[in-house]
Amino acid sequence: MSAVPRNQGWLGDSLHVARLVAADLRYEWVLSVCLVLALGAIFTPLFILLGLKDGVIGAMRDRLQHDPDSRLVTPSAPLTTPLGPAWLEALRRRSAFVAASPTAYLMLDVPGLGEQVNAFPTEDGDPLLVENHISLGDDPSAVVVSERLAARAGSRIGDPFKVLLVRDSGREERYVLTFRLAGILPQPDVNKIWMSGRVFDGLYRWRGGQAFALFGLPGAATSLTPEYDGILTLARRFPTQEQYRRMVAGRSGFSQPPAPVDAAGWALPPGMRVMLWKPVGSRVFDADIEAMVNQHDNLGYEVEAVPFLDNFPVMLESAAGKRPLLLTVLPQSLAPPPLAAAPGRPVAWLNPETLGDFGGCVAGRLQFPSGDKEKIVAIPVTACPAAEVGPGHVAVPRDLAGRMHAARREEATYHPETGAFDVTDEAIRYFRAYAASLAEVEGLVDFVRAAGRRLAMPALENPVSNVAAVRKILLLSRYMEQLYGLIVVVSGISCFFAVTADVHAGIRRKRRDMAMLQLLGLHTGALFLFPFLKSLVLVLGGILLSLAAYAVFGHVAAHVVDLRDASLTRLGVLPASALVGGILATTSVASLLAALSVLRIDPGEYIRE
Amino acid sequence: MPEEAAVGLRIRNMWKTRGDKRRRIRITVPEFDVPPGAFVAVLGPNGCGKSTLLDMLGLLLTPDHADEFVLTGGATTNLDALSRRDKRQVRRNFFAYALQGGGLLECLTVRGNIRFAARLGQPAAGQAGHLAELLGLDGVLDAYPARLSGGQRQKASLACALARRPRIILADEPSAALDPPSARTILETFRQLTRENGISLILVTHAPEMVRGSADAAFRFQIAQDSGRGLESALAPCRLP
Repeated sequence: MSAVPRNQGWLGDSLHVARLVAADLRYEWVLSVCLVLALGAIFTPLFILLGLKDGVIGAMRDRLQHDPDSRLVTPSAPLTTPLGPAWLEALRRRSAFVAASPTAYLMLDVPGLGEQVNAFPTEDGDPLLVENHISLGDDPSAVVVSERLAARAGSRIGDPFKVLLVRDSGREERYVLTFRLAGILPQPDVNKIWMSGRVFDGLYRWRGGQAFALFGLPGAATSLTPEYDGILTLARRFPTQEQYRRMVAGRSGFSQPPAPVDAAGWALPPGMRVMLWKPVGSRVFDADIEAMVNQHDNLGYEVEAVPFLDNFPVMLESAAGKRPLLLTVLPQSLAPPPLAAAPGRPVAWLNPETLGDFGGCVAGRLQFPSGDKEKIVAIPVTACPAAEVGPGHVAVPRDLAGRMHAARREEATYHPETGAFDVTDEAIRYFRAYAASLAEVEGLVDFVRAAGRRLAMPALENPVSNVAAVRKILLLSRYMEQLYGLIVVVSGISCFFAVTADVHAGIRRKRRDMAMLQLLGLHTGALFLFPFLKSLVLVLGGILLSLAAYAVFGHVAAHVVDLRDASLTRLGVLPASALVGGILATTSVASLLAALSVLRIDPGEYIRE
Repeated sequence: MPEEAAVGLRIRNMWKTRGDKRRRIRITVPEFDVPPGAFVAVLGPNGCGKSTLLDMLGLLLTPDHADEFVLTGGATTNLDALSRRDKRQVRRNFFAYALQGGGLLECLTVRGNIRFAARLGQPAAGQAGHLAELLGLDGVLDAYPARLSGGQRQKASLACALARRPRIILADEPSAALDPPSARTILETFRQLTRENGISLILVTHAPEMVRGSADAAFRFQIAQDSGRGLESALAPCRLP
């Protein structure tokens, strides 16, 4: 209607109402302070509980989160069978970081230290380095050492750090490598050194006989050390059980006395008997065999010691086709006269019945699985008949048998031209895997465990981790969250009714003023704002009071309860904002609902009064 | 104050029935004219329907019937046909109230109340001091209403009504709290201010002596028993005794 002038709209009236709210709060300041105190009394426990929850549990979670060990999962021991690349790739996808290596650690000497230190592989991104802000960069000579080792070596960051390498592959070799100290980890109780993974692997394989060109370290004559499953002692007369017990109790390297055996893959010479020495969970080397002979000599017994291979299946591929055989080593006393074997083709002796009638020797290849059993090693041999070898067996020279045995475990490649085995670089038997977060530790452990069950690897099936402690903290955290949620709900309901009652009572008290403002023609929507804004200001006052009370509580609590490097209470911006937002939302709804009663006020009431 | 067109009221044959079956009153306004800028007194005893008339004039109550209910002076506005929103706008822009002991917000000082009223009306900064001086409120401008005497409250209420610069002031016994000489003085000042500003004044009172000689016209409610159980109160022109 054109005759009706329009003036200040809803916004203009809202400004008038806002001024009135300020004036009313000032006018009723005692009442306003009382309401702020009452609301503060409701809100304060919420802030304190939130602070305690985040403080106590958060501190525990933080300690776990920042301690890389809490997210670490490793096999319980180096694996006997290398891990496949596909599984390692899956492990990497599930982890924040994986340091995979052929062994758990290397024992190295530090000149002047007087004791050995354990070396571990690492890379940039390793939580151990990240948490301590250390980077190796691209420098292969960069190493990180434990605090104790740095103190004992008198080294500081940036200093050269010398390491003594020793290898005994028939002759002892010693080299001193100079690294650069890139960082020191706060581990005051252990002597440890961390180096880049490729340097660790290189040193490990250098120990095994390979060259390590990056550091100018030469290879050894043989790359695999012969090893066996046990020792067969061959003699006419053996020590007594009492003497055997003494040998075992002494420094024999065996934990149980020998047992007599009837068959060893070769025909026993007349009048001779054989005893088998078998270590538990270990292997036998050439030096052990020599020591065994000497021990018998010392007791007055003359024995011949022969390496024992326990059920080593090989396949002979020759003109006669493929034959599955068991590998054995003949005693020196039974060895056939040496033959002039073709270059690169060592002689393999077989029982004539097994070999077949070829009227002499034939060329063939001995094949056996190596490493993770996916790789087949093939050794060209000259297969010759020997009646001393038992049917179904094949005898090869002792050194070759020992290296074949090592190659079966090590995943190696055979070079016929040199007769040497190279250990394959990808043979991974140990890893350090870090879950991305505490919540993912359990999943990572389950993943490793499942692989252990599937591959029948006990070291994987029972991995080492802190999952139990992590689970306990997370469970406690969840319980605290639930408890806190319950308290918040109860407090929220209390708060809702308190604010509703306050706003409603306020409108009852201000009913006359509300009627008058309507009579003056103030916009009803703007009038609706009066109780709402007033309530909002009081609630904000209550929140500020609660935060102040929380700060006082936190200060006092920090002095009363000493948690060393952590604090009892902690209120992050995000959770505090969420709580403030929740309080404002709840009280806003409550005051809006209560403010609806403004609409029921009749402006005529004012005239009639 | 800047000059603006004065506004009056014209009512023909308007009535409103209130109450329930046991006690019912029908207020009838056969003919009621308030010329622009005039001072019209409405007389009548308690319970005759004066407040109902003010409710209808202030557009808070809608009459059951009105042949004519218009604002006059300048453009003519049919008040009976306005929407609720327009009624609020008209109430805000054209009307002010001077009520017995009321019209003040307790949380504002006298100065604050006058300024607030001024803000709701047309821009009139600087009026608070002038009005207070005219109405003798100089010493209590910074006092809250609760600390004022009845007379001071009444004066403050009148100042607020004037500060809004309305076109019509609806006054309900605005001088009831004052002694007769003071009431007459204040009322004369009030009348002078409304006249100077072209404001029409409709004053409801049961004391005709207060308006004698100053009112331009007077109406009186006459109560009669109607044919049913209720009362009928009709507003008719009268002469002031």
